[in-house]
Amino acid sequence: MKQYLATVKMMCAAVLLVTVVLAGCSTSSSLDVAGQPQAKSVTILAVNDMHAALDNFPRLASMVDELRETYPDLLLVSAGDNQTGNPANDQYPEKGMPMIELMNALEFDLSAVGNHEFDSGLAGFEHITHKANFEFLAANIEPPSDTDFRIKPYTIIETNNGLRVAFLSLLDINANGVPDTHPDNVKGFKFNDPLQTVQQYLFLKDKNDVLVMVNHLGFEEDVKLANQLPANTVDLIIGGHSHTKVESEQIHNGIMITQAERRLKYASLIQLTVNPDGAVDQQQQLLTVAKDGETRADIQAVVDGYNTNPALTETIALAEDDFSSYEEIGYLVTDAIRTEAKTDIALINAGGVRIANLAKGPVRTRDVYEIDPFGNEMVLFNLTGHELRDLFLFAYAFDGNKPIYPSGITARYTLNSDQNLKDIEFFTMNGKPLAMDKTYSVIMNNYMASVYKYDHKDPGQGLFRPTAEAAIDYLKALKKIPSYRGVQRVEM
Amino acid sequence: MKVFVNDKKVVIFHGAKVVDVVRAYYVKYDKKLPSSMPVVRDAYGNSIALDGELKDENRLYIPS
Repeated sequence: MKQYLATVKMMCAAVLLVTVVLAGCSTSSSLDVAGQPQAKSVTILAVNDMHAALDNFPRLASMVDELRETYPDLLLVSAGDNQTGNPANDQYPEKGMPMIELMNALEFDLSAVGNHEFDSGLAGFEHITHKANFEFLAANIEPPSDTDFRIKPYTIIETNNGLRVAFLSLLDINANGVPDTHPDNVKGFKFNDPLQTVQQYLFLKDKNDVLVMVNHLGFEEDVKLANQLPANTVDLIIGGHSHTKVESEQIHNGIMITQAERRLKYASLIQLTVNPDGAVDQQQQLLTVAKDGETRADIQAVVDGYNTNPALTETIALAEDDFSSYEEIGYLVTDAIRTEAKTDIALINAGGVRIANLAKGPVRTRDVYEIDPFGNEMVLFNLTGHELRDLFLFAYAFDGNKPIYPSGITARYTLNSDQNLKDIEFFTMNGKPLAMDKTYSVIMNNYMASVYKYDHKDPGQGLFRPTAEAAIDYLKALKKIPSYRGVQRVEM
Repeated sequence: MKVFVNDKKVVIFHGAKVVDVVRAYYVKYDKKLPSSMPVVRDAYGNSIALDGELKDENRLYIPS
């Protein structure tokens, strides 16, 4: 017997025990045989942070089908970040549409707006909100007035057994007052404080049987929110953003909080039972999705189509010469991210380039993902020449005596007789010594930003854009890649 | 951004994910970076994926 079917039976049994009726747990009527009011229930399957995990959809589809046999009114919801994390989706000609089409096929009821929904760009996300057959929710955002985003603060679903279930959603805002996405993606949007915004919508509980929040705030923020809410206002918080795996029951201030990690490894099966006195009982179980099990053939066929979509194999640029070393490819990548990030300097660690050869001729999207397969993202710093020197000094030893590949500057390493780095000098691309007291904008990947230990005043700002995607966009614009044969930006 | 690992402060770039903070913690406190990352939990005992997104003042716990 499958784990989730066992769970379904367990939850049905629990509801029956509570309601002391013999009717099926999802189709109970409002009065029992003695004419007394009885409990009613609603069942929700919740996922979050799917991040374009297309390959798990055939399995999810099969699971949803079987659950709907038991719970015809099953509500299927996402707590946001449906997008970003799979080239088959992210590089699709209509960026992000594979996920939307799959969510439509499974008949999702609604989705929170996660920060990565904005990764499709302003026009792209606006387009997606119209292509989705489900509703996007976010109460604390105000789209630009000249746009037509189909996003609502809340929605109300009435189940066949007469329950009115209100869903309300909040999106996390970072220290800069915007969600964690590239700033260009949210131009013109206004974002309001989520914990203040919720106060405007607590009336929903008065007019409905159940109020469920589907948030993209992160688990700790959801706990903070639950602890500040008045009693008996919100019945359940379905969360996302922090990729938290909530296995054991988490109830804070009487409010159950769920989250199912990410990428469709898991889903939360939740049952809310409204008792005749209005009190709401909550039950949840974490189900495993991403394991062997039945899959739905029609959904598998659709996913197979996305995984072989031509965008992954199309030529994005032509290399005019062979690349035959990690250094040459590293310089190409740093030129790419420096151009895309519009900075003075770009840096890539030696380990950040995974292939040493790229043949003359067509360069494809998949080649870039082979060069840079880690999903690293760009991080922006403002560093003085002295801070840059300290970074290089630390990195040389940390990276096993391998130099950093730079763009925008060249470097001369001076080694001791024992091959340790004694000093380093920087030069502009014109060969002049770099002004060490000046501050430069420097782009690097998040690995370097997290492991290099050196004194620097600017803590850095993530740009929420993968280095590989930046390189792809750069090469598409470049069209012809010049020869890097003999290019030498590091002298030792 | 300020995050705590095993109740020790780690200052890191805004937008850092769980894996970034854990790596920075190892380096800052002169510990060897492990070949595979440990299970990371929050203050409530839940495990968190390494690509989980963080807020200022979040607290993470790893086996010491």
